[in-house]
Parts: sequence; structure tokens; C-alpha cells
Amino acid sequence: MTAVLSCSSVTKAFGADDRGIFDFSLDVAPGTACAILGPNGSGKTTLMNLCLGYLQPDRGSIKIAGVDIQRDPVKAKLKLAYVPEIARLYPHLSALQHLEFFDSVLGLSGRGEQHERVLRELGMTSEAMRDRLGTYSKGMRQKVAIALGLLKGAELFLLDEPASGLDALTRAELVKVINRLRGQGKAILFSSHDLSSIAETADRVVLLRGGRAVRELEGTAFDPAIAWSVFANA
Amino acid sequence: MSMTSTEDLAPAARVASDAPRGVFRALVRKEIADQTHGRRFVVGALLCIALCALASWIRVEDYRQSHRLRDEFLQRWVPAVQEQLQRDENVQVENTRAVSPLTTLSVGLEPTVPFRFSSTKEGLRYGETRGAQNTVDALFGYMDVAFIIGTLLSLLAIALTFDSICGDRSDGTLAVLLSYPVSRATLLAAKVVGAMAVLIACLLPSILIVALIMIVRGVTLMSLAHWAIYGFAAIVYLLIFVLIGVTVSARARHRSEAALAGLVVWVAFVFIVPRVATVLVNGFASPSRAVELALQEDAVTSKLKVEFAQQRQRAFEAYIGAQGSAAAMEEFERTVQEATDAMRTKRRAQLARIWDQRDREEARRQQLVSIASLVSPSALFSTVAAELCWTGYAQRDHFYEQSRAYDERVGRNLAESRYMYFAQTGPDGTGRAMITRASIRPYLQPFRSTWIDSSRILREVILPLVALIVIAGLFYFLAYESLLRLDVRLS
Repeated sequence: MTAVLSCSSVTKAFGADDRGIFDFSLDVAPGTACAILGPNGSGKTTLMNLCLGYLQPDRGSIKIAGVDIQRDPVKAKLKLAYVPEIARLYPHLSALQHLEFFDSVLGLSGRGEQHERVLRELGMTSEAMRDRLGTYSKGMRQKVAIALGLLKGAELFLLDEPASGLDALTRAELVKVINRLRGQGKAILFSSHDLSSIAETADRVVLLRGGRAVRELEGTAFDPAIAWSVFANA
Repeated sequence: MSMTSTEDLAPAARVASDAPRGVFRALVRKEIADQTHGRRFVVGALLCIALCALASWIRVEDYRQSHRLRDEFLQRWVPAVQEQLQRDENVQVENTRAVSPLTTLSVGLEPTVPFRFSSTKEGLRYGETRGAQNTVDALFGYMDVAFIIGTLLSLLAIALTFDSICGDRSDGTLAVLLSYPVSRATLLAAKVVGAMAVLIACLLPSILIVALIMIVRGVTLMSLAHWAIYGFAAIVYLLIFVLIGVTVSARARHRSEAALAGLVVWVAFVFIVPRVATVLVNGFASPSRAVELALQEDAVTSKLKVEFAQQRQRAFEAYIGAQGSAAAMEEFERTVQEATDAMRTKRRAQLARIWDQRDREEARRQQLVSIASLVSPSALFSTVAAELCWTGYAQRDHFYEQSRAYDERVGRNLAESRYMYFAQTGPDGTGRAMITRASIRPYLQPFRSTWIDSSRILREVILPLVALIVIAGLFYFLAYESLLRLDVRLS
């Protein structure tokens, strides 16, 4: 099966210091989740920026659903959804108004029923989806950002530190949402610096250190202790 | 600051095309909705309307008062001259000029231009300015619509935009929005158009109220073309501050940092840059040169007058010595006429030289002012507004030219229409005196102001307008570059 996200030998270096991403290759297939785990400064942010097209790699290429993000960013961006770590978005708009606005950015309209259905499927009540986002918890805001991706028709979901600051209950709910996305055939890439996070929910865990993939594990085989030992040897 | 270097800029960030149509429209609608939703817009709009109404009330009343004063002067003009004749005194006429009816929109140089001038035997004398009478405004600052646009609205432009990028960035909105097929160029255009629409929404009702107050109080309005240029200049001026706000926002990491930077840049552009320009201009071309030249003018006139008086006196004594015969009278009149003509010709030549020099120095000073104001959007906007409202340099120069021409054509003839002669005839101090009188009937016309025409105004405003547009273009480029360099995801 063709990978939804395909990074091949991507290198992006910043100045003289050792920061950046070096010779990084990764394929994420549809219906699978991949976790990028690494301490601060390991290159997670650079990798995310490269996948989003915000940075241009020095070498290598990144393809989203077969489209090079640098060559055809318009087409590639239609295939990806981004869920930021802090997704306060427009605090004075409701979830439904958010979906309506981002639809208008895509030139779409009249999808009100679809909006409600998507939010309901993500576990949001009818009342909640009409409340201002300013009153939402982090978990609920994440759901709005995920709903945006679903309505956009994204095939790849990029989640930035999705589990940080979530309580156990919300975290469990997030895992459910990730599993649902996976069930719908979406590819998921999420970053985390927190070892006791939801890395175990991923199909694959890539440990990043100094901008290089130092170890790749099956999700089921993930053990925070392994990560500890890898990072401690830095 | 979390920014990437230029070589890191991705083509994806630079791409100008947006896949779905109407992205720009959707973003602009959102911007306008967000801005009008906020308290800043409501407070800004209300303040703008209230201040414009207050300013136009003050200025319109001030104008009407000057108009009344001038009417009274004009009514007194002929009787005042006639009474001087009855008292057989030297005729000394005092004139007033019309004050621009458009000071509501721009006070400009109006308070600094003499309101009265008189043609005296000693020469043309300029009297006090309206500014000298209007001490309250002089103390508290002249308020007009140009000042409100220049300060309040430019500050509002910064207030509406200082968090437009950094706020969206820290909320994560920017990263989500740019993960859609939205280019940064489109985003910048939408932010700018949205903020400008809101500023125009503040300005338009204010201007309508100003026009209404002017109409109701019977004050002349500008021509539609001049309103249009005034509005265009205001829009370009405010655009510069919107772009400054966006640039600051794209370069700052947090809202508080952007707010402080925005305020500092605003103070620099509105208050500091024009003052530094003033210091430089005064350093290179001191305004006190005009006073030196006026003193020179006095000295030249006085010397000629002394010479003339001596010639006249000698002629009169010759006439008395000839026992006042008819032939002696004829000779006396001929000599005096010749002396008068010679004195006037010499005076005209000498004054023309001094006035030329003054005009040249003033032109040089004005040139320096225009060059210095090229770096200050506030100065440029004030210049355009003043020229359009007959309160600028061009109208001031026009008034000086007109008043000198009037003095030559009318005032001189009135002031020099009466001369008194005295000669001692006996050793006991007895003497004879005579007053010569020239007809003043052809000169009984008070001064009438005229206004410079549209073509002259257009010539004056074209350079500052182009400079404003160029500055706006530079800031657009700067804002775009700042947005391109921006690290969208706050890390």
C-alpha cells in the first residue's frame, strides 16, 4: 500500500550547531499511527515544520499522499490536517462556526448537517458544539481541530504533542479518537517529548535524538524504559 | 524572536496561488467580523466620531468669528480712510485677509499667517496672526480632522493589528489556517483589507458629521475632488500604520511584546520623526533669517525716505524763497513729483531684491521641509491635508504675493497721498507750512483675498502623495517579508 506520508532522506540543518534533521526517512501507511518521540531539541519541531511545508528541506523530499509538499503545496495541504499543541483557535466562535469558517476558506458551504455529524461522532454534544471555544477544555479543542481535518478530507493527521496537559480520562478519549481515525484509514503522525504518553497507542514509535532516528520500535513493543536508556546515552 | 533565516524560506510559504476560490473573501469577512466584534473598534469609532464633531464645532465657530471680524473691518474700511482725511492725517490703511473656511479639516499654517497688514508711509507692515488671538487653541493644541486622523486613527490602526499575527500564532490558529491552501500573501492582504475596512468604518461617519456641521453652520465645503484626494491620503496614511502593526505583530513573540513595540514605533513615527526633521530643517535654514531680511527691508526704505524728505524740503524752501509765485509752485510740484517717482522706483528695485532673496530662502527652507518630511508619514499627510484646505505653504505664499501687490497698487498710493512741509522764514522762528494732497479716489478699495486654484494645489500635493504611496509600498514589502520569515508554530 502507498504511504500517505513519505519522507525520504530528509535533511534540514540550522547553521553551525547540530540542530535540525539529518537523513531522515519515514513512511506512514494509511490506517496506521506513528509516534515521534524525543527530548526537547531532538528535531521534532523541525520535522513537523517540514511535513507542513513551512520549511524547505536541504535534501530529500516529503510527499503527502504522493504529492511533494514543496512542489505542489496547494494540493498537498488539502491532504493533511494539523492539530497544534495549543489549539485555542478563535475563542469567540463555537465549534460549528469554526467548521463553517474553514469550509468557506475551502470555498464550500451548506454542510451544516455534516458538521454536526462529524462533531457528534467525535463525542461532542449538540449543546457543546454551539458553545464558544473559549469555554472548551484542551481535549475538546483538539476534537474541533480533528473535525476540521476530517471535513477537509485529509488523509494525514499531524498531531503536535497531543497528550501533553491532558488528564487520564481525556487521554483515554484521545486514544479512542486516534483509533477511530486509524479505523477510517487515516495516517497519523504525532510528536511527543513525554515518555509516559500515548506512544504505546501508535503502531510504530520512532525515537529521535540529535535530529536522527536512533531507534524504531513496534508500538506494542514500546516500553518507556527503552526510550529512557536511548536518551540517557545521548 | 523565533524566526528562521531567509535561506530557510520554503517555496510553500512563498506560493501565491490559493487553490479554492474565494479564500481571500472568506478571510476578509472573518477579519472584519473579528474586528467589529471587539471593543477596540467600538471605542475607536465612538472616540473618532466624538472628537471629529468636537473639532469641527470648535473650528467652525473660530472661522465664523474670523469671518465676522473681517466683515466689521470691511465695513469700517472706507469710513476709517475718510476720517483720516478729515483730520488731514497721513492715510494709513489696515487690511485683513479671509481665513480658510476649511480649517476644520486642516488648520495647517493658518494660525501662523498674519491676519492683518497695513500700508504705512514706512512700508508694508504685517500685523498679528489669528494664532495670537486664539490663545486657548495655541495653549492646548489645535484640533482638526487631520490631527485626529494623524494621531487617534493611526494609533487605532496599530491597536487593531498589533496582535493580528502573534495572537493567532500563540492561539495555534495561524498554524491551522496555513495548513489549508492559504498563502501568506493572501493572509497579509486579508489582514490589511480587514483592518482598513474597519478604520474606514470609523472615519466615514466622522467625516459625514463634520460635513454636516459645516453645511448647517453655513461654511463652504471642499470640492468633491478635494474630498476624494483628502480621503485617499488618509487611507494611504492609515495603511502605513496597519502595515507597521502587522509587521510588529509578525516579529514579536507575544502580545505584550507586540503592544509595546507597536506603541514605540507609533510614537517614533507620529511624534519623534517629525520633530527631528524640524530640528534638522531649522539647523540648515533658520526661520529667523526672515526677521533679518525684514530689518534690512526697513533700513533700505528708511534711507530712501530720508533722502526723499531732504529733497522735498529743499524744494519747499526754494518755493518759499521765491515768495510763493505761481512759477515757483509749478517748479516745486515738478521737483517733488520727480523725487517721488525716483524714490518709488529705487524702493521697488531694492525691495524686489530683498523680497527675491527672502522668497529664495523661504523656497530653500520649504524644499528642506519637503525633503525632511519624506521620512515622516505624519508630515506628508499633514502637508497634503493643509494644501487641500488652503492652509498650506502654497496658499501662504499666495497671500504674501497678493498683499505685496496690493501694497504696490493701492496701499502705497494711499499712504503717500499726503505730505506736510514746513519752512522757517524768519529769525524769530515764524514759518510757513503746506500740505500737498493727491487724489485717493481711484484707490478706495480694500484688500480682497483669493484662493489658489485646484491645479496649483494638485501640483503641491502630488509629491507628498507619491511619497506616502512609496512608504506604504515599502512597509507592505517589510510586512510580507516578516510574515514569510515567521515561524508559524510557536515552539
